[in-house]
Amino acid sequence: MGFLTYLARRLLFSLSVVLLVALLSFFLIKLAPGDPAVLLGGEGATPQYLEVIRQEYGLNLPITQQLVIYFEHLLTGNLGFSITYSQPVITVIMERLPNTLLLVGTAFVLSLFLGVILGIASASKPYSLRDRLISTFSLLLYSTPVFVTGLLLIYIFVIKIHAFPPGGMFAIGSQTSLVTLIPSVAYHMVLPVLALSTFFLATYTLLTRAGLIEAMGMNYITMARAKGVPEGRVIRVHALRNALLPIVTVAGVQLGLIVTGAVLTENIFSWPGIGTLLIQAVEYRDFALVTGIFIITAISVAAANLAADIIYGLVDPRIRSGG
Amino acid sequence: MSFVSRAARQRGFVAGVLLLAPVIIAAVFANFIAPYNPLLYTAGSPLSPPNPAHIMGTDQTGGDIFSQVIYGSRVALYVGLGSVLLALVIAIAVGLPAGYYGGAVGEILMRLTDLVISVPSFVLIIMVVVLFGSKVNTILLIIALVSWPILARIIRAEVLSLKEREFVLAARAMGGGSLDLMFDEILPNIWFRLMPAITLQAGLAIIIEAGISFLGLGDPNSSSWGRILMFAYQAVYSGAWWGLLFPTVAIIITVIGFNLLGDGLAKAFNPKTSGS
Repeated sequence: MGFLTYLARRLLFSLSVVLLVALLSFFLIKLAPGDPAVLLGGEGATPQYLEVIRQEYGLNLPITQQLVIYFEHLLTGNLGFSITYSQPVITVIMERLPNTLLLVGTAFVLSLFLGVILGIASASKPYSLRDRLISTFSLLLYSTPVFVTGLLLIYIFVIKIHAFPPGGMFAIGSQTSLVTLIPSVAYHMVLPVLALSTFFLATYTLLTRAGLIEAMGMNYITMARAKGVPEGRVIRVHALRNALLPIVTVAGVQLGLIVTGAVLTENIFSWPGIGTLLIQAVEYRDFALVTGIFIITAISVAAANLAADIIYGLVDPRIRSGG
Repeated sequence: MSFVSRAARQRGFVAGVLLLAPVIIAAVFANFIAPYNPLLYTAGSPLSPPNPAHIMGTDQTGGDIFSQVIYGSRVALYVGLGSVLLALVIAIAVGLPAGYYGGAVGEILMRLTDLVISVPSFVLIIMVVVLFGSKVNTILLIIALVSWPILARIIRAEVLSLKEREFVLAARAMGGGSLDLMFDEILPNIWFRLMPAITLQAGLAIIIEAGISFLGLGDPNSSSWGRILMFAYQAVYSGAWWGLLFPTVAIIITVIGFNLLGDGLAKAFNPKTSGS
C-alpha cells in the first residue's frame, strides 16, 4: 500500500465520521420527544416563525426529502439559525472556535512535550525512586477527572492565594492593543491549560515509559550498547523513535477525550470557547446551535485525526515506503 | 494454586480491593450509614463546616454532604459497572465474530468500531441527555453505547492471536461448532487481557457521569458526586472547601481502586506472571 492510497483511505474514513455524526444529529432531533420545529426554532417561537422553520427544513415532507434538504444545507455550510444569538449557527461557532483551539492546542503541546521528558526520566532508571515517584504521581493524575483538577486549582490559586484570575480570557480594557491583550490572555490561560494538561501529561508519561522500557529490551538496543553508543544517545535516538509510534496512535484516539476535557475546563474557567457555548445553548434549549456544535466538533476531531494519521504515515517507514 | 490465593499475592489487586471496599460498603449499606436523605435540602444550616452533626459539612441550602457522598457511591458503582457490563456485551457481539471470521465481516465490524470511537462522545452524551431526559439509566445506556469499541478492539486482537492455537484447533477437530469455539475455548482465555480495559472503562464511566452531573445535566433525583461538586463550585467563593474535598477524594479513590484492581486481576489471571 503506497502512501497516497493510505492517505486516500484515511481521508475517506474522516469523511464517513462526519457523515455519521451528521446522521446522528438528524435522527436524534427526529426521535426526541416533542416537535422538531420547536426544538430548532425555540420554545418561545411564534407560530409564524415555526412555519418558517418547517418550510426551511422541509419538516412537512417525507423523511427522505428532509434528509436531502439537510445535507444540501450542510454542504453549503448552513447549520441553521441560532435563536439565542439571532445569527447563523456557523457564525456563532466560528467566533468561538479559535479560543477553544488555542486552549486545547497549548495544553496538547505542553502535555506531549513534558510527558515525553518525564517518561524518559522515568524509564532511564526503571524501578528507581525517581521512576516510582513519577509513575505514582502519573497514576494519581490519570485517575483525577479534569474538572476536579480545575476545581482544586481554582481553590488554591484563585481563592487562597489570589495569584490568578477566576476565569474569562482577558482583562476588560486589555483588548485595545495586542501589546496588552497577549500578556492578559496568557495570564488567563495558565490555570485552564494546567487543568486540561494534567490528564494527558499522565497518559504520555506512562506511554513513553512503557514504550521505552519495552524497546530497551530489544536486540538492536543491546547491539547499539555493544557498539559503545553512549547510554543517553541509545535512549534518545534508538529507543525513543520506536517508543513514540504508539504515542502518535494514542494521541489520535484521545482527541475525543480532549474534547471532554475542554468542555469541562472551559465551563469551570468561563473560557469563551465552544465548550461554554455548548452549555449555554443547552440551557437556552437552542438545539440548532447544539447540533451545529456537535457537527463542528466532529469535523475538528476528524481533521486532527487525519493529521495524526499523516504524521504516523510519515514516521513509520513501513507505510512511507509502501511496504 | 487457587485463583483467590494468586490474586491475594498481587500488591495492586490488594490495594485496589482495599480502596474499593469502603465504596462498596457505602453503596450497599447507604440507608444505614447515611444519617439524612441525600436529597433533603434542609438537613442543617447552610454552609456549615464539618461538625459532629454533619461530619462533612453542609452545602448552600443545608444539605448533608456526608449523606450525599455515601449515596453518591451507589450512583457511581451503578453507572460504572452497569455501563461497562452493557458495553462488554456489545463488544463481545462485535469483537468475537470480527476476529473469528475475519474477512469482509471482520473488516466491516472493525470499520464500524473505528467510526464509533471517532465520534466526540461527550458532546453526543450531552445531546442525548438533554433531548431524551437525564435519568440515571439514560446516562448509563449512552455511556455504554459510546464505550464498547475499545473493548471490541481488544477482543478482536486476542481472538485473532488465539484462533489458530493448538487447543482451539483440537476443539475444532473434535467437532466443536463455531459458537462453542468462540464462547467455550477462546473467550475464557482472553479475560485476563480484557480485565484492565474493563476496569479502566468502569472508572472512565464514573468520571463521565460525574462530569455530566457537574455541568448540571445529571439526574436531579440522584445524589451523584458530580452534583455535589456542582453545588460546591457555586459556593466555593465563600471558602467552603468541604464540598470540594470529600466528593473529590471519593472519585479518586474509586477510579484508582478500579485501575489497580484491573492490573492486579490481569496478573492473577495470567499464568505467566502469577508467581511475581
